[in-house]
Amino acid sequence: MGRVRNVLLCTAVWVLSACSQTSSQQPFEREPPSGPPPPSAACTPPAAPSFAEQALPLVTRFCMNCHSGSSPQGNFSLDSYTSESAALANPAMWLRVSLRMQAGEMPPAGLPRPDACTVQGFEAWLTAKVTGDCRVAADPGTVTLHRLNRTEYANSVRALLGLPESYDVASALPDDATGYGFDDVADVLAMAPLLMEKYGDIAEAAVQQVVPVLTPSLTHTEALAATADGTANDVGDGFRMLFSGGDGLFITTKFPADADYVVRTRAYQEPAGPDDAKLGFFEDGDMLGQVTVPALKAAPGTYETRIHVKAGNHTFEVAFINDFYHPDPPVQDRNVAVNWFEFDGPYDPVMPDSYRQLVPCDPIVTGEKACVTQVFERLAALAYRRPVSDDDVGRLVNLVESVIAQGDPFAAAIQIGIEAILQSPNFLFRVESEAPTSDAQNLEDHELATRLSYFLWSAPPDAELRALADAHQLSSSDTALAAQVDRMLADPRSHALVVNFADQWLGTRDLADLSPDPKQFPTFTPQLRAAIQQEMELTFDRVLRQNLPVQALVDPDFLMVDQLLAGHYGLAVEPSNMTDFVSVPTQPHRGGLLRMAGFLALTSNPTRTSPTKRGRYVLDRLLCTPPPAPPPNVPALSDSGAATGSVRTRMEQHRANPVCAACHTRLDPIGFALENYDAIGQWRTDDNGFPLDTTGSMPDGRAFSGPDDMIGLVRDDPHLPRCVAEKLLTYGLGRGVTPPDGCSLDSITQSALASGGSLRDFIKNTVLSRPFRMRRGEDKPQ
Amino acid sequence: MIRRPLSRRTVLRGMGTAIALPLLEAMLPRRARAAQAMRKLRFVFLYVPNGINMADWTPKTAGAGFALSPTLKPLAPFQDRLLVITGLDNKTPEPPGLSGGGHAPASSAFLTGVHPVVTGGSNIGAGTSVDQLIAQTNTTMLPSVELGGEPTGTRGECDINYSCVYTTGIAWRTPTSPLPKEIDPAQLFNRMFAGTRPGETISQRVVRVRDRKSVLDFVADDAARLSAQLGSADKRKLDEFMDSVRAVEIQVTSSNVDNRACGGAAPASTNDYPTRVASLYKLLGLAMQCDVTRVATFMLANEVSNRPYPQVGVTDGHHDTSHHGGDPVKLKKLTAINTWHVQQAAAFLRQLDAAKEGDASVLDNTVVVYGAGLSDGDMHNYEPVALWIAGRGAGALNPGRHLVIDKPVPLANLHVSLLGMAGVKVASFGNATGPLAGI
Repeated sequence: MGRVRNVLLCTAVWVLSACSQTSSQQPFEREPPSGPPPPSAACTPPAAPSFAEQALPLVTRFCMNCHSGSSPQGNFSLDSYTSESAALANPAMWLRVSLRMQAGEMPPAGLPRPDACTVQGFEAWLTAKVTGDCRVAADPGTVTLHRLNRTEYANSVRALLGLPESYDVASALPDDATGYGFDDVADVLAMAPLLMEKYGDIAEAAVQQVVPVLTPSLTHTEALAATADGTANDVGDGFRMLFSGGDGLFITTKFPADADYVVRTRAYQEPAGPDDAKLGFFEDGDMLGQVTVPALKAAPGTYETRIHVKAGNHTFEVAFINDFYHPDPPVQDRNVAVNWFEFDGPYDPVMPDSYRQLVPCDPIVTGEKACVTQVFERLAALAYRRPVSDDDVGRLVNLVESVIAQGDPFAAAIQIGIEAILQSPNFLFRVESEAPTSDAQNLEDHELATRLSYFLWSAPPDAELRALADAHQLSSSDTALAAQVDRMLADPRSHALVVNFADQWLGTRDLADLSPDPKQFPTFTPQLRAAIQQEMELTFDRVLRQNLPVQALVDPDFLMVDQLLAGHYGLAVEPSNMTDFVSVPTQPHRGGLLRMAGFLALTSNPTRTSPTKRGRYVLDRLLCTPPPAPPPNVPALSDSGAATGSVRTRMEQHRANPVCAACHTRLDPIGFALENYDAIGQWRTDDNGFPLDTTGSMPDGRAFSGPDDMIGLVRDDPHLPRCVAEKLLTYGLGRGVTPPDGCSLDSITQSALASGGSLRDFIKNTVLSRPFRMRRGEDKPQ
Repeated sequence: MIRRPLSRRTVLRGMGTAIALPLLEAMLPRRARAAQAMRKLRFVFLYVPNGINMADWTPKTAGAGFALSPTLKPLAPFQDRLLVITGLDNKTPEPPGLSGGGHAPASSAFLTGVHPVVTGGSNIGAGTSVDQLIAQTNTTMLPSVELGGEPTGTRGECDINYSCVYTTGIAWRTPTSPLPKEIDPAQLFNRMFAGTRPGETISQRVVRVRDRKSVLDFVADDAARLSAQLGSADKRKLDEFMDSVRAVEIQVTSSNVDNRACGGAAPASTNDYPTRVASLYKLLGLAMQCDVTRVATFMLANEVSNRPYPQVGVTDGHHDTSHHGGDPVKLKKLTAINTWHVQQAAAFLRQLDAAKEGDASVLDNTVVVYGAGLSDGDMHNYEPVALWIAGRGAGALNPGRHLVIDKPVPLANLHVSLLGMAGVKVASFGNATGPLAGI
C-alpha cells in the first residue's frame, strides 16, 4: 500500500524522495493543510479495484455536485465518465483529479470530503489502471512515427552527403510546430505538401554540390574585351597586339571543377628573329602552359594547350613571352596579335572528397551496375539508419539505371538516386518497427542508436554507434550504453543539447522575438540581446560540461559575463576589458537562471514586469507543477489601470475575484519575490518610486523573505530534479510524458541523485530508462 | 480537373459534432450557384489574434448604407463591396475532460468549426478547414498558400494545456494535419514565381520535371511498403506523407508556366514586422492576380501574440493590452492595433481592386474574409465574432451592408455558405447548423 500513497503524494504534495517503494517514511513531506487523513490500518485495498467499485462512488458523491450538468464548476464536467472504459479514455485527467484531492484543494474547504479509506480505494484503482504499479514493470509507451524536424533534417542531410556545417540546408523550411514545449514532438510534426515540395528542392540543390554533373563546355572571351596590361592595342579585325615581352591580357573565369581544361586562342604573329612568337598562360606569375604562334596575319591560326585548374574563379594572364627586337636597321620586331581565348572543359576532373566517399568506384572499371549497387548499398544503410535489404538497394539501383537508360550521364543518374533517398519516408521519418505484440519489448539496436543520437546530437548515428548496433552491443548492455553517453557528450555535436534542448526548455529561443519598449529600455540593444542569450547558453553548457548538479542552473557558484553584460548588471568584475565571456564568482544579486536578464526579460511585458509570468515559468518549466488553465469567462487579472502603487499593490487590489485568486495566490508571490529585477533584468530597489515587498510563500507554504530566499527554495525543491528528468524524457523521446512514465521519472531521478545528481547523470539515466530503450505495440489492451 | 473526394476520415471526424446537411446545395441562393460556374473565384482568409475592441469595431447602424465604425474607417473606399457581419459565434463545444485556455479554441475553430483536442502534443486534432476544402477543387499551380506574420515555433506564449500548433496556424489539411505557414516573403516569392529556374532551358526543365516525378513515384512506393509494417498511428503519418507526395506531383507536373514576369522583382527577407506584413500582402495580391493560387490564409500574428505595435505608438504587448479590464487607456491602444491591421488589409483590397480582369477587378471576383477568433479578448468571449467580408465573390455576395444577426449562429454556418459558393459538397461542417442566411 505504501507505494500507492507515495506515488501520488510525490506529485501532489511535491515530494520526491518519498517515492521509495518500501518505506512509507517521507522525509520532505509537509502534510497538506486540509488534506485527507492518513489511511487507517484497518483499510484493506481491494485485490482487483474497479472504476465502478472504487472510483465512481467517490466521484458521484464528492465531485459531481459541482462538476456536472449544463454549467459545471470550472467548466469541468465528470458526467461522461460512467464506465471504466469511458474513464480510461482520459487517464491524465484522473491523475489531476487525484492531485487536487491529495493537495487538499478538492473538494473545496467546507464541503464534505471522502474518508481515508475511500480515497485509498480510489488510489488503488488509479495505480492499477492509470499510473501503473512501479513494482511491476511499467508501460514504456510508444512514439509515433517521427518526422525529422528542421534541425534534425539539416544535420542528417549534411551527415549523409558529407556537406560542411556551413552548407545551408534548412533555412527555406518553415519552422516546426511545438508540443510540450519542444519542436521534436512526433505527434505534432506533421507532413505537408509545402514540406515535400521543399525537400525536393533542397535535395536537388544538395546533390549538385556533391555529385556534380560535369559536361565540358566553352567559355569564350574576345581579346578586345579582356583587361590589358602594358601596350596592348586594337589592330583591327578584332585583334589585339602584344608588342613587348610581358605584355598581357587578363581573363577571369569560373571553373566548375578541379580538372583539366583546354585553353585555345586564335592569333597571328609579326615574325622576327629565329623563333615563332609564343604565348604563355600564367596565374600568379606561374606559367601553366604555352602555345607557339607560327601563323601570319593573312591566315591567323588557332592554337591550344591543356592546363590543370582547381574549381572556382581564376584570373589568368595571357602574355607574350619571347619578344625579339633589333633596333639597328633594318628594324626587326616580333609581335603577336590575339583575337580571342576559350576555355574548354572540364576534362578528367579530380572529384571532391565528398564525391569519392559517395561514389567510391569507377563505373568504367567495375561496370555500371556494380558501381551503382556499391554506392547505394552504403548510402541507403546510412540514410535509413538500419541494415538494408536487397530489395531496398535493388529498387534504388533500378531507378538509377532507368535514368542512365534514358541517356543521362552517370553522375546525373546517381543524383536522382540520392534525391530519392533524401525524400524517402525511410530517411525523413525515424522508423521504429511495430512490436508484433502489445507487450513491451526492447528497441532494436539501430533504433536505439537512432534515438540516442538524435537526443544528444540532433543528428544521425555516427560510425561508432552504427558499429555497436551492427554488432548488437548497444541495447543489451547498460555499460555500453552509458559509455556511449559519455563519449557523445564529449563530442562537439552535443552542443545540440544546448541550442535545441536547453534553449527551448528555458525559453532562450524566444529571446530573438522579445521587444522591450525601446523608449523605456534604450540599453536593450541587439548586442545586449545576444549577450543575455549567451549567458543562458553558457551557463547551461558549463553545468553540463563540469558535471555540476542540476541545482546549479538555479543557484550556481559562478557567473558567466562579458563586459557588456557586466555593465548591464552594474558589476565591477575583473578583467574590465574582456570581450569574451568569462566565468567569475557569483556577485550580489547575480548568478543562476532566476537572476539572469534572459529569464527576467522573457517573463516580462514590453513595458513592465509580470510577476504572474515569472511565477508560471518557475512552476511550469522548473518544477513541472503548472497551474491549471484559467476558467472561461473570467477576465484576466488586470495589473495596470486606475489603481496606483507598485505592480504588486495593483495586482493585489485587482485580485478581488476569488476564482482568480485561487490560482494567482500560488503563481504571483514567486514573481513578487523577483520584483527587484525590472523588465530587462536590471536590479532596482523600488517600483517606479513605490516601495517593494518581496516577501511571500511558495504554493506549498514555505515562506521566503526576498529573492535570494525564494531562489534557495526553488533550488532545494525536490520537484526541480524530477522536472529536469521530465523535460529530458519529453525531449529525448519526442512525446509528452504519460501517467505510466511516473515510475520511470521517479527512478531516473533517484538514480541520478544517487550518483551525484549532475545534469550528465540525469541524461544518462534517461537513456537507460525503460521508456527510452523499449516500446510496446500500439494498441495496448487494458 | 483535379478533384479529390473528401477523405472518409474527414467526414467521420465531423460526425460527432455536426449536423448533416443533405439539402445544402438546394439551400444555396441562385446567385451562388451561378458563381460556381465562374472560373476564377478566389477565397482569402485573414486572421488577427487576441480579439477586438468591439466598441470601436461594430458599426452603430445596420443594413445598407451603414455608418463605418472608427476601426473600420480605412475600408471606406470599398464600402460598396463590404459586408460586415455581427452576430456569429465562434464557440465550439469543449470535449469533456481536461480544460485548456481560451485562445487555442479561438484560432483552431475559426476556419474549422471544431473545438481542438485539449492536448499539449499528443493526438492533436481539430477539423479540416474551409480553405482546404475549397483548395481541394483547385487546379492552380498552388492549390492554396498559408501565410503568417510570425514564426510557427515556440516563439511567444502558447495557450495553457494546448500544443503551440493550435495558436500558430488556422489551416488544417485534415483534422489531424495542421499546415505550416510561410512567413518569409523571399521564400514565398520563390515558390510562387519560379515555375522555371533562372537560366534553365526548356529541355532542362522537361528533364527536371521528369526526374522529380520519378523520384516522387519511388518514394510513394517506399511509403506503401513501409506502411505495411507499421501500426495504425504510424500509418496515419504515412497517409499524410503520401497525400503530400501526390500534391507535389500534381504541382510539379502542372506548373509549367513561366510566370516570373508576373511576379516582378523578388522581395527581401525581413525581420521588420510592418515591412514583412506589407510584403506578404503584396505577394498575396500578386498570387491572386497571376492566378498562382485561388485560396489563401494569412494569420497576421499568432494567437496570444504579445507583440508591441510601436508603429502606432503601442509599446505594450498586444496580448497584455487585450486583457484591458475595461481600462480606457488599454482599450484605446487595442483600437490602435486593430485599426493598423485593418489599414494593412485595406491596402491589400486596393491592390486587388486595381487589378482588372474583364470588366471587373480581381477584388470583385474574390471573397476576402477578415476576422478574429475571439470577440472581446478580455474575457475570451467567442461571440459576436468581429468579421467582415470584402469583394463580390464573382456575384455570389450581396455586399455594401452591415448584417446584424439577432440570435448568434455558429461561425461555421458562414463557411457552409462559402463552400456552397465554391461548389464544394460536404455532408457536414464542424458545428454548422446550415448555411448563413442573408449574405
